[in-house]
Amino acid sequence: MTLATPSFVILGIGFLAPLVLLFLLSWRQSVPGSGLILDQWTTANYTRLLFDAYYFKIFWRTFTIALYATLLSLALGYPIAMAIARSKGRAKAFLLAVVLTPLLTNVVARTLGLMILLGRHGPINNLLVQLGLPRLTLVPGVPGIVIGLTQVFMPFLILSVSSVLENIDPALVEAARSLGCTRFGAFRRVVLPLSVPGIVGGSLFVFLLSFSAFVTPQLLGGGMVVVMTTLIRQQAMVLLNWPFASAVAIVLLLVSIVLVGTYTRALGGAERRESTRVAASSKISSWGRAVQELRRASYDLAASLGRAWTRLARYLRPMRLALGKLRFMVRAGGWGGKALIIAFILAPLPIVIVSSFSGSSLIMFPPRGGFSVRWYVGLLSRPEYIRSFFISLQIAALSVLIGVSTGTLAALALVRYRFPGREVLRTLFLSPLMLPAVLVGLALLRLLAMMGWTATFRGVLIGHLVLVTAYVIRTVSASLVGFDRSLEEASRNLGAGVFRTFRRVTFPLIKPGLIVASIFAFLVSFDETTVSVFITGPGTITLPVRLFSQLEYGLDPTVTAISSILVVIALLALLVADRLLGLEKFSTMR
Amino acid sequence: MRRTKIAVCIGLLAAIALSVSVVGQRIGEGRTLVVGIWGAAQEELTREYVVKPFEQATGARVELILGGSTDRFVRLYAEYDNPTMDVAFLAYGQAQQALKDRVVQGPNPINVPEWKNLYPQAQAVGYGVAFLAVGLMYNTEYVKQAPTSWLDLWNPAYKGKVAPFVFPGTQGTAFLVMAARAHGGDEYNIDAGFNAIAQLKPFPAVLSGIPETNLGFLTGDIWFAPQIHGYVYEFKAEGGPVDFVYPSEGTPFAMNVATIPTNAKNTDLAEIFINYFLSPANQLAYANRLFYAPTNRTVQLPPELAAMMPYGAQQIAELLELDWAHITAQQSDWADRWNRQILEK
Repeated sequence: MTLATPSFVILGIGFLAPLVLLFLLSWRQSVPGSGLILDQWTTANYTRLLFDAYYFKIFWRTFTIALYATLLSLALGYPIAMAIARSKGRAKAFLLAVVLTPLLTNVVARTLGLMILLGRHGPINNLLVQLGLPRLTLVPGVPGIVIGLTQVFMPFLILSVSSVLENIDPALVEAARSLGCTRFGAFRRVVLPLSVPGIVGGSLFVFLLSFSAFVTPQLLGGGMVVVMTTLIRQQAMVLLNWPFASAVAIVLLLVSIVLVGTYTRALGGAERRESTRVAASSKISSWGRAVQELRRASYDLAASLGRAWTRLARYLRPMRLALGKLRFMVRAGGWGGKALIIAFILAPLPIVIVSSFSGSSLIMFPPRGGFSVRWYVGLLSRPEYIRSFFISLQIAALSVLIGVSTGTLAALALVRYRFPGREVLRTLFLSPLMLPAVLVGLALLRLLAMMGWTATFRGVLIGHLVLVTAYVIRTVSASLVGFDRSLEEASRNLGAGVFRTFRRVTFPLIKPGLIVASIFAFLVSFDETTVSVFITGPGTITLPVRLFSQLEYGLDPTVTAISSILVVIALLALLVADRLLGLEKFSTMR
Repeated sequence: MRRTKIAVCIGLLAAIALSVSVVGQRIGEGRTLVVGIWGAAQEELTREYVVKPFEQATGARVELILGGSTDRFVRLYAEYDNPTMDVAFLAYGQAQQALKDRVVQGPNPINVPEWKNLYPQAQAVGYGVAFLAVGLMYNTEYVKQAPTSWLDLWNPAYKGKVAPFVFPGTQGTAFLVMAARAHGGDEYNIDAGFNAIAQLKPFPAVLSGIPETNLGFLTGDIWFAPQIHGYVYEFKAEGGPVDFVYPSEGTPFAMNVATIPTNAKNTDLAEIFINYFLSPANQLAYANRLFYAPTNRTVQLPPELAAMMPYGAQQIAELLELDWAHITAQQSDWADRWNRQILEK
């Protein structure tokens, strides 16, 4: 349990203390139109929220949007994850690069690219019109939001799943095949159940990220689709009704904890059983038991997915048709389907890059006003962007170093040891992702202001670390679950010490998980906007905050120019990594 | 005798050295002034016409934090005891509320001499830096007959082409009140406004930013929107197919305001900064580039420029002053109604 202490300290300052502030605020009364708060207690915020069907409607809409995005990510992302896990050498390096590159462009730029792509006058609709088909209204609207969230967050699922798939011993598949399983049978009975921890983790990320996304629903919804985050932002930022916004956040947090708990219980049955098994028995289980275990897990998975599916079927009809088509495509097309999915992942990039060479100040595709490099030239006279880039880089690097090392220790504690409050702690570490980021930011700002830490580097770092830790713990846990502890025991029996065992046995085995966790940590920190908007200040303004602040008034191709430069930097970094280390080694284990 | 001469000489030299160092020791040497302001063209103008002379005169460094006024308004309350910003630019309604709640300081004419030259409307909120008119932006490519009234938006031929702005907000709030006024209500009888705007559905978008607005007009998705005059003329100057009208029922008045947080760390420097901001040189530059109407009475505009903004006491007085105190008090309820009646299908 002491292993989890460093992470817990981060959580305490960065999340629990602000949460207490929010909780206290939620029982206060605000003055209409002003940020002043009356010094008297009230239950009005909660009664307003709980006895009004409107808020439930908004919640339900947000929930279903996040769910669609998660399912779509799973349907599109799983084949790519399998392809990454199965491929070797160049092919693997290429696939990883494809998945990672869009993540390094800024979320505002990526969403703008999608907005243009899916828009009424975008390339897709133009193609449809040329083919003599009617225009699709994807944007503004819910379909556009779902597609956008999928596009933006799917890489998290792909990497989560592939890091777990890498851990599956190919011998298991061979065994199943030699015992008479068809290829699909082996997938269904061996690979799929064993990848459940990855699915649980990855789909949780996509769901929570989609649930608390602000930029994507705001831009792709055309300002007309109210979801929880836009509602909370309206209450907290425009109306300054912090007490009510806090009440919404507290209720939302409780609901999320219950939802996530139910979800991990239903889907993660296999995960937990696996961990119990590993913890309880030092012997390698017999094939029979293993297969039985796997079958039960796969039934669990199938049954709970099925239940969820039927329950949602009536809301899902239009989506289901599309999904069915896509699944058919994937199955029938094989690499053709995968190529389409890859095209989908990369789709915003060409638009972002081309529009950055626009002669006019509007971000359009095709760009207006001819070809021009004025936005790149303009960047030269704006050293603050370069400074912000380095601040972001620095904070992201520190987030990786601190977040991954402390988070791994905490994950070890959570998976390996049983102690009172373990489940509570596990949920607590994930909960920063369940509280809407707008309020995490607002609460953190108030706390940091009390401590005199506003706009300081350490304040920003703590805000990022809290989020990063959640991803790290989840990802590393998933790779620890499938871990055969008898290997460690063998090492100890053969005379290796604790550290040597960790270095020679444990570390190599969880390396794929650690690498993916580091990638997540870097990306989350590097692109974090909503919380950072509040806690940064002079000298600590990160790059995404600088770009985000342009959204209301000064949005011009500077944003896409910077994103294009980021793409180039990302590709160069991947190339260097490939030359020096071999990109495919990043996720191979045995 | 000789010794006293030497002493006098040394004393003189010392005095000169001292006085030089006093002169050289400018007020802001080694200090940083943090200013929260809008980005894009406003940033460029501010750097050129305010930051540059300010830094030269005071020796202080200016750090600009760019963004929308909403973020700044929230920050003023959230970090009341320990503000990051020394100067925060706010929208009209926000500035009034902040002044009322005393999270920002009132005007200080002694340290900000340009304050005396401001129109009374700009003095009333502290330091008003630009007058704005919230009128009607229309698409000249699709709308051949220029609108004259807010009521023109309810012409059935324009259905699906009118984009409101998000409520609350400068444009969104003005539009709601004007919709009410055009339909027999006003800010005290707002029902008419909500019902009228609901009739405009389906909207091509509910706007919240300037770039998306301009894009919508360019693609032809949007034909009408409530808008601040400066943004329309700025886009028109870039070749956008748009124009601006002052509707017959009235054009609401708005203002950009510079504020100093109550507990600002560098109030003295902030006042010098604002004085530069209110100077005729900067106000003229703003009028030239962004068509923001000067709040400083001493600014002289050429007639063709003056025609594009509410310029001079008479034109400013012709704009409609909404009851912002009442609106702010109702804002929360109206936002709730806006979400339900306007945004939901």
